[in-house]
Amino acid sequence: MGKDDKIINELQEKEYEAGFVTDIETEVFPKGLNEDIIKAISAKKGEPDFMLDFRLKAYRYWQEQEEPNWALLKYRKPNFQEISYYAAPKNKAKYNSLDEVDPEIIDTFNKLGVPLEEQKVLSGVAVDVVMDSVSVHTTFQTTLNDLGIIFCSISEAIREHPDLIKKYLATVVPYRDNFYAALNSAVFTDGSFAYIPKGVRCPVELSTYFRINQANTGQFERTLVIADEGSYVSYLEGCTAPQRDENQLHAAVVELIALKDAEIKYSTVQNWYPGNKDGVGGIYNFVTKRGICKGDHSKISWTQVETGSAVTWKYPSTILKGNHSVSEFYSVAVTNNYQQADTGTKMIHVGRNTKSTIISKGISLGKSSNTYRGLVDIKKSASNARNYSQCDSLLIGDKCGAHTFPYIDVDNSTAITEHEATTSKIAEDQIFYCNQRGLDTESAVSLIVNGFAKEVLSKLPMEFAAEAKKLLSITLEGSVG
Amino acid sequence: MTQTNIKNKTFADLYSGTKDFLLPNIVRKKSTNLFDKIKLPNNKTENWRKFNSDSIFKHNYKLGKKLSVETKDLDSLSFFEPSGNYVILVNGFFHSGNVKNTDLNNNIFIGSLKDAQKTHSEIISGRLNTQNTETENYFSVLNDAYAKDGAFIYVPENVILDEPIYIMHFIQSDNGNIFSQNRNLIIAGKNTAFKIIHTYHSLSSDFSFNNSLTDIFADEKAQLEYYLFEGEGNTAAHVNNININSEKGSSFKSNIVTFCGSVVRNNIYAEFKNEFAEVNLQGIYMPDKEQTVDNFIEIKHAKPNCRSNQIFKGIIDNKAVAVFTGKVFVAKDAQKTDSAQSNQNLLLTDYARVHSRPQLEIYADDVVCSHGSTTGQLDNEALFYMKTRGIPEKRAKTMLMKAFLRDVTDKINVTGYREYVNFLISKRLKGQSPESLCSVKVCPSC
Repeated sequence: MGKDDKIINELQEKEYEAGFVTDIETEVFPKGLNEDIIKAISAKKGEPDFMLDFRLKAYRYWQEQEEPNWALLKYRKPNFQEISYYAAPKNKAKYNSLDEVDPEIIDTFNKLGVPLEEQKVLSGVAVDVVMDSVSVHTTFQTTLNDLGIIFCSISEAIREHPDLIKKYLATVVPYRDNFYAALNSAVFTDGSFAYIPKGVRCPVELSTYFRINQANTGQFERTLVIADEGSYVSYLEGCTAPQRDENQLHAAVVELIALKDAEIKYSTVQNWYPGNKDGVGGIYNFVTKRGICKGDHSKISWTQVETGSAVTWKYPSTILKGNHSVSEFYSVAVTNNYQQADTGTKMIHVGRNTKSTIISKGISLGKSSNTYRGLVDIKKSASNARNYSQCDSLLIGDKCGAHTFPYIDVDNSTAITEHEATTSKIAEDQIFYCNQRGLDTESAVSLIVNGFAKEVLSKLPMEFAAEAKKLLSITLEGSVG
Repeated sequence: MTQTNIKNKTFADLYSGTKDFLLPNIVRKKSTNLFDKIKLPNNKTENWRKFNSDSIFKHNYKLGKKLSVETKDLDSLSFFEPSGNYVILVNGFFHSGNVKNTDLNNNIFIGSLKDAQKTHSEIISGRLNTQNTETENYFSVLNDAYAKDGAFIYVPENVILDEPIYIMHFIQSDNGNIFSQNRNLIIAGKNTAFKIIHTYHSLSSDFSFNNSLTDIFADEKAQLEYYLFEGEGNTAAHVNNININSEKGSSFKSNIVTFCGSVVRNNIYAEFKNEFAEVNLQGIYMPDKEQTVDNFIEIKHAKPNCRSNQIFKGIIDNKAVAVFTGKVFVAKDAQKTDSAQSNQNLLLTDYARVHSRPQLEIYADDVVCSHGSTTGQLDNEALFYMKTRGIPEKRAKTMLMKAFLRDVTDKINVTGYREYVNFLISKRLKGQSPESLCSVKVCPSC
């Protein structure tokens, strides 16, 4: 038992490895939120009038709302007037080649193990780097342009493709959706936009890296991915943030739209600063992610690896509207120290013969709390809908919590839903078996945890899987050899 | 007595000007103060999300009076033995009771809680105001504040009873919609073993709303089997609060049959007060028409080495709604907890609905907890197999549904009662409407 305790202690004391601050000049708006700030953000971005209207409507709605408190989370509510709603690197000219990019930025990504050049050359991933709020660099633009794929920052899309924005923005997550979606709609500064035209299979994996950099700046990202009829896209998002002692707020909105026969694969690795081992600092992550399988035979799959953030409140959801549409949700959430995660998914079945699969793996360490909260809602029209959910939790240490709160609402008699959940610790006999085969306890724990999460990790695209394993090992270090 | 519209006023107003409450005033005062904090549940109240409260609150009510039942009403309840141990209550008031006269059970008490407060005050004190305010249950607070009577069962140390004890509640209206409350207390002393059959029936066609609260204490090494039958008609709403306190080494097994009722909510809260205890909750429900059955279960593993098990199965017909919330809470030091939970639903029509929320909240690491929930229809392959063997489709379906429920009903350990339940189920599956079956006029023998 002594050895186990030692390993657990080591895990709990693991400091955040990606904690550093990039020193770039940034332009920051004064703290606080009012209509003038929103007008200033909109003006700064050179947005058309309809966007300003949208922002103001969202802001007015947000003012009437109260912060939700139904999640199993305990945190100090952020003071929304103490946050600066706009921060942009001052030096924001568009670069043509990598050499022109501020060397500090390049350095930051090198520290994170995301060498831009290397990625560009070796992995064939087009990276739309988001440093704070303004898109700095986009690669592989030419290849994508040739296919008619639009992949740019959302600000650019608002300026260049207002018709697409008008048609699709906020159709999946309307500004009235929830408190944080309303806030995001009012103040979002940047994010990514992708449009895959009819019948095009996107040849590369679209990818963005988010990074909260300016201290005390809430990050409000807005992502919109549209896959037109018969198209396919795999979209990756990864996040890390530097070490800060004040809680930073992140309230992103992600919208995915899959039209007839289209498929969107959305993968994310989240490793924001979780706070130190005493629970000081860390990111508040209140995200609304939702996709709609709008057309028949469309498919959306979510894969997420959550290792960071002090507080996570995140439910990637899919509305299965098209007949025969399919959605999958694969998630690994690891919480350590005082981290709290209330995360899961919603599968809303509307169309006939729709199918959804939910696989969720939660791993709790230290004094953390890890909650799965998911909804499977089979509407009356969803004949022959099928759902399978499986939520497994692993507890490492006796001070953490693992919770499972599924909601299953069925309105159709031909639907079949199944839900299973288990909670357990790593069994002594499993460790004993590994020991017997010559593995020390440390490697055994690592092996078992990796095996536990493998079902989900294997769903990640190749390029991402390596990083996900790395993040898991950072969180679990001490046990991973 | 004037009728009060609940939407505008509260249930508490029905009691203005009445006296003789069960709980001491000092406790009641605490409860009435809670009404500022705990409001009538609506669909925004997380724990009552899908509870069909409107169908209760739309009615006007007056308080149910102390009325009488006729023996012919009892005749149809074939499982009941008039010579056995029983207590009969009408609208929450004690009506009659019997303790079978044997040498062994001289000290057994089966009767009115109000009366027992005078004779058994030492045993009762400390066991009456145990309610758990965390769950924000309006109705249990209401019961604390205004209940006037109910059943009291006390089986003292080392007594083992072979025959069951019956607690039978009847709702009866002389005229108009009635609201009634009952407060029951069951104490299973150290090393006791016995069974309780607790039933609810309604004898009138006026709308009634019954708010019950039963506190159950399973003392050290007690073995208690608790069978609950909810058979009020289509015009009866029932909120049934059951609190179970399990002491060291005790075993509590319950079997809940929610056969009919317009809106039925079972709030079951079980807490392990000491180690090595076991709680086993099973239930079936068969709502029809526009009925709602809402089972809300919370099991608190406060101590290590305890075991809990939940199996709830339902067949939902017509436009009925079934809600299941089963929460297992494992406290920080409750190591070696073993908990399993399963909820299975069969939907018979496209208008029937199921809301299932099996929940686990776990703060200890050396535990084995699992839950499962399924909702669907009969297995087509099984149906096909039976048809190829010459069984007509309708019959095959009935057989499969019966088998589905039998999982639970076969565990009933009292032959007469089990036969009664199985008889009702088979009648019901053959298409007989629940209200005709819920009337106490139906029996296997007549």
